[in-house]
Amino acid sequence: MKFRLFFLVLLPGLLLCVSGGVRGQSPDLREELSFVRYLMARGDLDEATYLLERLAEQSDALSPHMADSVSYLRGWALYQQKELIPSASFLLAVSGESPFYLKTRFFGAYNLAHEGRYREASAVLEVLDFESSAMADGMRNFQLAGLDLLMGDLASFSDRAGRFDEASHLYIEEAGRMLVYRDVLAGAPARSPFVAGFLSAVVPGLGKVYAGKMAEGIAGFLYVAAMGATTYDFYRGSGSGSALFLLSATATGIFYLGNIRGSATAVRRQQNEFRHEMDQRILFDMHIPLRNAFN
Amino acid sequence: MKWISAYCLTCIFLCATPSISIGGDSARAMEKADNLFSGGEFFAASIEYERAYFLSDKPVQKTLANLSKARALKQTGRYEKALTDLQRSLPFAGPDSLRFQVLYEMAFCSFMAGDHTGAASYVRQARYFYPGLGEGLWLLYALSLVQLEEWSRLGEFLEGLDPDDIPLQESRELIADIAARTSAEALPRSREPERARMMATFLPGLGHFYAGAPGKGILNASSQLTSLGVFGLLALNGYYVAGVTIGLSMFQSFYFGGIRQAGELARGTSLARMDAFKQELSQMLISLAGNDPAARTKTNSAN
Repeated sequence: MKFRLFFLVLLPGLLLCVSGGVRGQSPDLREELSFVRYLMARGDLDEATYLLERLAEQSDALSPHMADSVSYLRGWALYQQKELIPSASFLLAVSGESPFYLKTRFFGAYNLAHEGRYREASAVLEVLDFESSAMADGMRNFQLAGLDLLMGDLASFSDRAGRFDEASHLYIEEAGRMLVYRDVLAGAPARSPFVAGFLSAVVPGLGKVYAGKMAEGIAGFLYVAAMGATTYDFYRGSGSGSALFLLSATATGIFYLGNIRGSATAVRRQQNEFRHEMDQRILFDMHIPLRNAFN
Repeated sequence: MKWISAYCLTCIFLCATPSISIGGDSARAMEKADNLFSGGEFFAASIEYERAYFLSDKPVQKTLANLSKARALKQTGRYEKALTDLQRSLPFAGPDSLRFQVLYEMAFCSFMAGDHTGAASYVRQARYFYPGLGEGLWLLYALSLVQLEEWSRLGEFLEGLDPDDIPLQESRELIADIAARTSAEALPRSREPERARMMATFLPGLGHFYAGAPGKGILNASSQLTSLGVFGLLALNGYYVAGVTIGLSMFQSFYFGGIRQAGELARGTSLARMDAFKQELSQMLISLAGNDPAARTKTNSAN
């Protein structure tokens, strides 16, 4: 009798659990996610994204855990396709219950930083909630320090860099390079567009040399000098009232003024190029530890 | 004891269900993929074929799924992807007929992806390992040789074709015509960019004539003469500096630009002529295939 009771109780339970495990919706979704992961591992990101979009359409049927998995995988697929802003929005939609929570927050913030949304990235990391973990705490400090450099806040960077002594092996080399970037940024000469324009007004092309564009400066000088010499030639041969002189003088004047303006913009161009190069290096060094820690 | 047996049997039944369903899942995925393919949803079909591949644990089923996936990918023009996917089936393709199909699809996808060396190589493998079936791939091989500009090999290959493959008299004449056109004397003359540049260096416009662009040659030579005229006119009137900065600077631009342009025109002309020649030969080979029922079947299945 005991056995019969046991069996009668056990059988429906087993049927419910196992048949649910085989045919029920949740296991089907698990199988679908398993297939999506397989596609992503093969590099079939378009296909994986297509399936994930279809899964997301059935959001009502997804448990919170499944919804987190779908968001994480969509964000990760988009990250691999270098669509960083949509990737960030999916990654940051993952709840704190997910085992991928830390990864999604760090990569979501990094994606935002890569697209120039530094303040949003900082905000994500500032409110990051995790149980006491030296790795996560150190990584957050390192990423926030990188964001300080990107935003040009060298004082805040130096504060955070004080805690680089605790840097884990995951980012110790990158932390060292960040300190070098800080020094490079602090020591970058502040060139003035006004000074560049003034120098080019005195000697055509000199403003571009001052801006760090030596070749452009020499070329500008040669152009203006050749045109000036041509104008003088016409002046010498046919006087100041001749059409040839007036035409040549007008053209030379336009080139001369254009060279002054070009020198002023060359300073901004040079600063943008320098800033862009530094930003790329900083972002690269922020990225490597994340890949090492979470892959 | 009776209860324990019943319990064990129940467990076996419940555990067996999922393992049986795996093969069923693969078949269902194939069926769904076939329906999507029939409905023209080739991208979705390719995913379902991949699912069938993923769910199946039998090499033959996997190969069939992979071949069907290649068919769907071809419809979307993703030949390189189809080729990459097919490569995983080659070592485990199962029976010879399937392995031959994999090789054929790989050859076709390589050709369409622009990898003509790969296409010729896969056809050679198919012809070597499966002589009976591989003979039907002569068109793909010949087209690959045309694209690779391997004229002597093409001639030898067409000469060596089995008469059963090309039964009609008019086809024999077509082969003779192809052989005549691919002889060294009859091939389109290429225009050497280096020679065109050399000609333009010593006589402005001549390199353009050689490259097959006489109009541009006349225009370039006239521009150079005009700029020299401007220099001369200004110098004669005592404007020596202006003569140099205006006349000679214009002249050097036209002169060196003309040399560079002649080289580019020669290269472009050679490529265009060769492309037209290859197109013509390919059309002749395709019309040959029109006379060959086996090749026609292959061509249709490829499309």
